[in-house]
Amino acid sequence: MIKFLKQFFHKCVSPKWVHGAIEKLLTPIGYAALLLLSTAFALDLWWAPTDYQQGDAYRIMFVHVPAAFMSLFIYVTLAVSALVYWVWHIKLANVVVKASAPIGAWLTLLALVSGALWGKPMWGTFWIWDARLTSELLLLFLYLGLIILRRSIEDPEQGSKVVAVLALLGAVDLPIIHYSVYWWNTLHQRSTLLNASGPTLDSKMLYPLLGTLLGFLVYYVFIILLEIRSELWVRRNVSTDV
Amino acid sequence: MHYLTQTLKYEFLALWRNSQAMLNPLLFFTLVALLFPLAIGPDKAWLTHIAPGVLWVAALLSSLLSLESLFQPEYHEGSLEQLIISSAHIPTLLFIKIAMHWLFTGLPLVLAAPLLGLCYYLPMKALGYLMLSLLLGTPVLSFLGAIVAALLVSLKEDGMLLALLLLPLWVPVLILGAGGVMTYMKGLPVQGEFILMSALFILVLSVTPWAIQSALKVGIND
Amino acid sequence: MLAQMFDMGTYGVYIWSAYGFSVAVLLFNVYRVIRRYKKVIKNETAS
Repeated sequence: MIKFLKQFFHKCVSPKWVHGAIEKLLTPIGYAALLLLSTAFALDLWWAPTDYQQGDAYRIMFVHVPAAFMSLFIYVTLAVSALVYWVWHIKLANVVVKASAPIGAWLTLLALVSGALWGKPMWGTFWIWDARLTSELLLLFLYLGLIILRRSIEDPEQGSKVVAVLALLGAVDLPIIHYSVYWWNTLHQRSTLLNASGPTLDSKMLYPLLGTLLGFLVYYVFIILLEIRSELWVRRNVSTDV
Repeated sequence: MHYLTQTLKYEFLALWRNSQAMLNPLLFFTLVALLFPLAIGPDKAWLTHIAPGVLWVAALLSSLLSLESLFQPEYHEGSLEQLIISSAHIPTLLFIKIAMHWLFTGLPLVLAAPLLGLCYYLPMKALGYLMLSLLLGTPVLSFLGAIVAALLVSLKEDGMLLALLLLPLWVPVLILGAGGVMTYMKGLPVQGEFILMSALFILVLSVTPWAIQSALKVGIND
Repeated sequence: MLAQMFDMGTYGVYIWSAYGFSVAVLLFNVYRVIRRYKKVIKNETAS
């Protein structure tokens, strides 16, 4: 297993192998994402039962929670890739950093917007300056900062290094977002999925939620693979490392 | 120790002789702080209420502007590159450099804040805590800001980009600092904020010199 | 029946805006990435 993983990571460093793998995987993953998301959304809107307290408005959760989760997950991926790029100078890691920033920013925005649309009917306000929402908004600015920074530096290699360092600096916001609901008194609710005693959500609501989350994950993989393929084409004449 | 005291002396003299440039952040701070009463009107209750936030934000903006003078002059001169490749213990040199820079750009803000606080009708005790929070906070702003300033050192002076990247990173310090003063004004216990600020102070000042060194290596290499 | 499905119990506006925005975001990003890929292919294979 370890050997397989090691071999896999070694292959991931080779642009040629990665390009070949992407060409083969892209269509299936694309269709998988489409299928998962459409089924998940259908389940979210019509199969999941109406909530006793929140009525149908809680259905926004099926969009809000995966989007928020992805905003954090993508940043973690981005930060880890930035570290890999900075330490081992593996250029493909830089491609992941470059590709993840825009999609991460969009999903963070989606999390904020869907949260606002959920907040208005349920808690009476589109926005509140509590720790969870504020730190998520900060995350949006971190993503935007990375995108703008990369565009501001002319030399792409220099720019990549600077963006990698900044990405790592911004990673400090991540635990703040996640633990904000425990460290501060917030309007935002606490975690129902990652509880010590298992998810406290009814299974008829849990499965659509997990399905949508999986759909978003596969979607992210699809987007990243597409972007990596584009980047590999742009850089194919650059015969640098592996 | 010899070269360290030499660096200390050099940095101090360089800043001391260029005191005009160092005066600007202080003037900016004062001007921004004075804009709000002019814009909002002299309502005492309002001003007292917004004072900690406004003064802290003014300090943030002022620090942002003063960061441009941290590495840029020496970068354009070429001596920054020499510093990085020197055989000295660079994190310590950087610590001294930024500490001296703070002495001339951050400390004036700390000393000026109580006077401005009086313009905002802040009570005496709050002035004291405001000073303390800025005293602990502005070095954190300088050292954290130095990392991003180092990353951007080779770019043409673009204060906007520095602001865009740095302000999100500075937000926790702002919340702790300004929030602490407001909590103190309400009469609630501030041990929590104070301990967090002190912890941040110690952590940031001890760890960032290495980060700044790496950032400089990345930023200069072009 | 269809009206109930559309209204979602008076919360229709919020729910459909939220889902609509998400679908828009998801589709836009696919469009953006594919458009870039097509442009890259055109640039790289034309020269």
